[in-house]
Amino acid sequence: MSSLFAGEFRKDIIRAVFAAVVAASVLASAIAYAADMYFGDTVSGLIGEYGEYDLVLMVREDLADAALDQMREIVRERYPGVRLKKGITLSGRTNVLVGLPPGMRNAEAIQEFPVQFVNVPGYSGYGVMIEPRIEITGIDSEAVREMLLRRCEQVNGVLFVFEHHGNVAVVFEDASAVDQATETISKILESYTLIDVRFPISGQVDDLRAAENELANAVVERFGQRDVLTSSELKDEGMGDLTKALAEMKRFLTYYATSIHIEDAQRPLTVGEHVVLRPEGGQLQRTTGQAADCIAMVISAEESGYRAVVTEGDVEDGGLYSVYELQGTSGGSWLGNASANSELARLARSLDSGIELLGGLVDAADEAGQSARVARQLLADYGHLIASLTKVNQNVQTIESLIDSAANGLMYGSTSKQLVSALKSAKLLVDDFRSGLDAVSAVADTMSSGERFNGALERVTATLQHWQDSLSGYGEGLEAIASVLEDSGQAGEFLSQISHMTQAALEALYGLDIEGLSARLDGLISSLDSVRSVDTDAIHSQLMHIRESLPELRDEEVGRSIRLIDSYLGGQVIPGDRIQMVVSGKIPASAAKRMVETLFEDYEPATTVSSLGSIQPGVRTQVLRVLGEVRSTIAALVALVLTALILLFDHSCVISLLKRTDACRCVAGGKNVRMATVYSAALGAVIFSSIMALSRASIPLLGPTAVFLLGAGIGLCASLVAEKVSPVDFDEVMAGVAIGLPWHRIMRDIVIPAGRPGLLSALNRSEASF
Amino acid sequence: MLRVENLHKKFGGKAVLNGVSFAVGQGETLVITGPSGSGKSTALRCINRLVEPDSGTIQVGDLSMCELDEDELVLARRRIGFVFQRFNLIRRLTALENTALPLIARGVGKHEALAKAAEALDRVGLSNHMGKHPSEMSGGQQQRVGIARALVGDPDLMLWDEPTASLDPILVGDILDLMRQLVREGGKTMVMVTHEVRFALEVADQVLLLDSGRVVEQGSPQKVFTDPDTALGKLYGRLLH
Repeated sequence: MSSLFAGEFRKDIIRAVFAAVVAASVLASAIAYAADMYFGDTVSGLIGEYGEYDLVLMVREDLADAALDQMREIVRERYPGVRLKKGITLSGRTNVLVGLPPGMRNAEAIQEFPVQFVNVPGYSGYGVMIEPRIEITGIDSEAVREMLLRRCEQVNGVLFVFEHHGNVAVVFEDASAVDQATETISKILESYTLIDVRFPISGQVDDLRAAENELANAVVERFGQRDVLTSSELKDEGMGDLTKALAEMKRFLTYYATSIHIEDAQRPLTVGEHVVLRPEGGQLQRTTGQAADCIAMVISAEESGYRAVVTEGDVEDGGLYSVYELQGTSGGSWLGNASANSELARLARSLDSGIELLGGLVDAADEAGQSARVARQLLADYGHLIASLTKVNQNVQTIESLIDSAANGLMYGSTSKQLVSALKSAKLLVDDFRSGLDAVSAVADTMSSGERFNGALERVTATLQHWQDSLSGYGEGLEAIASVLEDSGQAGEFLSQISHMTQAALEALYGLDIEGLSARLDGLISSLDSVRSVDTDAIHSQLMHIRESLPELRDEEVGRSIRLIDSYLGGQVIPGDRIQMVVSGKIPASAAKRMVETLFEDYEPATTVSSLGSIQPGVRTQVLRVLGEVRSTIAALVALVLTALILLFDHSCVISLLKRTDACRCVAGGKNVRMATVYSAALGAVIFSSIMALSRASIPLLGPTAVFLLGAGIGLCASLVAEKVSPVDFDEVMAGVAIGLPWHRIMRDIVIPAGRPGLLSALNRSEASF
Repeated sequence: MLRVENLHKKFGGKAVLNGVSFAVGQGETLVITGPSGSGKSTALRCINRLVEPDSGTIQVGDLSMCELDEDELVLARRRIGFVFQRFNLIRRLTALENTALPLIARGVGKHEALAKAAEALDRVGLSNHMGKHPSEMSGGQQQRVGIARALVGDPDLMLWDEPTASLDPILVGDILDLMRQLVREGGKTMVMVTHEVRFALEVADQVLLLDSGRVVEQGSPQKVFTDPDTALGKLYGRLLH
């Protein structure tokens, strides 16, 4: 059996494999070529032949015809020689292909030409198609871009360079110059190292420029003297803004989310654990579908307990809850107590109070202003009050002396005439005194209904009020004195009290800082006027707006929102300050990263170290490259299918025979391996690799070794099904052996003719005996 | 002509042949019989190494079969005719082509091989069936083709592996008649594995009775079947009655 592959049959196999590989390669190439041609023609139909057009102007589909007419008019007037062609329409935009005359194939024309069409109705941008061209992408720094523009312009074979959408576009003189010039530009890019340091939003540096200088010095110190070009910018834009907004939203929601504080936990809780909250005093219920209970998730452990957020249901601000284990969908054993604290609910209540308070503010200010004005008037009447009180005081003293005289007359036998005269005088004085009292009372009334905000005035007012109250009805007392002249001692004592009180009132009034009080009242009136001038309607409106804009979210919705934001932010670096540094020469990426991490270890920045930008071929080149990949992938798929077919149709009978012969083993890698396995794998690898190589097929991300192994895998798969595809009648084989047929004749006369029709079978016809 | 000594063979650790020895002279006929699984067919197939013996010696004429390399073994097999129990004809070939194949293997020209094959088929009574494929023939006819294929190379030694076991009882007689005829024609050394005791008694020069891979009776048919030493021999002897 071992002679099976040692003699004539080995030649048969090699011949068949060679023929199959050639035929399969031709077929794979033909199919791939047909696909290539089809796609190539399609591309040419879409964007023209190579070099035919240089720019593409895009206009709205519905205005395409009118826009094209206007564009043609502009071109006719300003750019004779420029060709316009209406191209395909994609996503509602029609492409207008522009072919520039040789004189306009320069940076200025490329950049200025589209500007002429910005006023054309429906114009919506442009693209560059000029070829041959490459673009250097991934350059964020203007300074770096300028440097690259200068250096690329000096490369041999480069026609001109220009900036295109933040990239450096390099246009070559002709296609033959592309490879050489691209290689030179690639070397230029590789001669620099880009260190990109991004600080997280939580780790902003105080002085970005100083940090830049610090990094530049560190680079020179660590890697030796070299050119350093830096550019820093504050924050990132685009997606960075969204990420930041989400982070802020999360902070807001987290701050206002109802916080559950769990105390007296009966066992340690783990962060992320879910627990059931039940209002204290309620019965334990199933959690799902029951409004009374809700579920919370522990988010942190604190000294005084655990903090949790509600994930299902809603809790009441300030509410007290019992905490239970969550078992399935029900509450389990008691874990402790919890209190709910909703900042959002408190904010809503505060806003409601503020809105209500603001409504009465204007009225209160008006009333206070009116009172202040009255007080101000009172101070203006201060002199009149003093004069009235002084007169009252004099009258009291006169009455007091007349009463004394009357009393002495009665005692020492004075004439009744003299006594009556004295009493009449006293009566007149009392009347005068009473009118003076009325004046003081009026002032006192004014003060009592006026402002009692000032302590000094209130003291005076109280004194006067007390004085007035004591005098009321005393006129009647005097009349009684005059008529009976009895108890003159009591009247004198009373008048003495009045005199004392009047004196006290006068002292109090003299003690007032009238000027100071006036100034303070003026200030108060001014402040109250200012309050009235405030646009309280606007404030009210804004407070209402804030109140209405407060999230109408249930606690579980807040919790869910936070988790959603977390899941988005999980893979995001929230952008912050950023330093980009271009350094001449190559720098080991790992060493540079370590250096940056050490230098800014407090800020935990994200650092990338790479070459300067990357070269992207032009649109057509990219399309052709993609088509090339499609072509080679199609060829690879065809090769794969053909390999499987070759193995199944040509070699499955051989594999079947080898599998039926248990003794047919060989030593491979120190292990005893069945010949059928070795044969299948080896043949699959050889056939597949050969077809791939000859048809220039390739599979993205798979190198030659992987292709070889893939072929071996196909062979092994074929081995698994070989006996079903081409079963071998072992009785016939034994007959061949018994009659003395050598193995190659057994294969030629018995095994292969009985197998599936294939190339091996076809080639065998001439070799078979019959 | 044929000497087998101390032949051993195991399949999967189980001893199928356990020291089998026998010898057959030139032109003699040896019948090997015994119960199913006694190692008859294995012993027969070891002679031309369709089954590789584990140990022992096999001498066919001047050839020490166990010492031959693969190429030599191929040549040696051409000198040994082999008739299979299930005919083992090649289905895609006609009776004539099946019969001619051993000659082709020996390098005989196609025309000559076919002519000699036709003679061989005529000898076994199939001159009218030469163009038929095996699927077009009866079991007896197929076995005749198998016998013709074994004879066409004029081998020195003929090995018969239960040639009637797969045939209808009606056809067994025809094949036994053909075998008797061939024995009578003489000149060929034959080793036959069969359960046909009467046939053995009639044609054999000696009989080998195997049981569990061992020779339990050996000698002339009369000795083995009428005066056996073992119970198995006596049991086979009773089959004659």
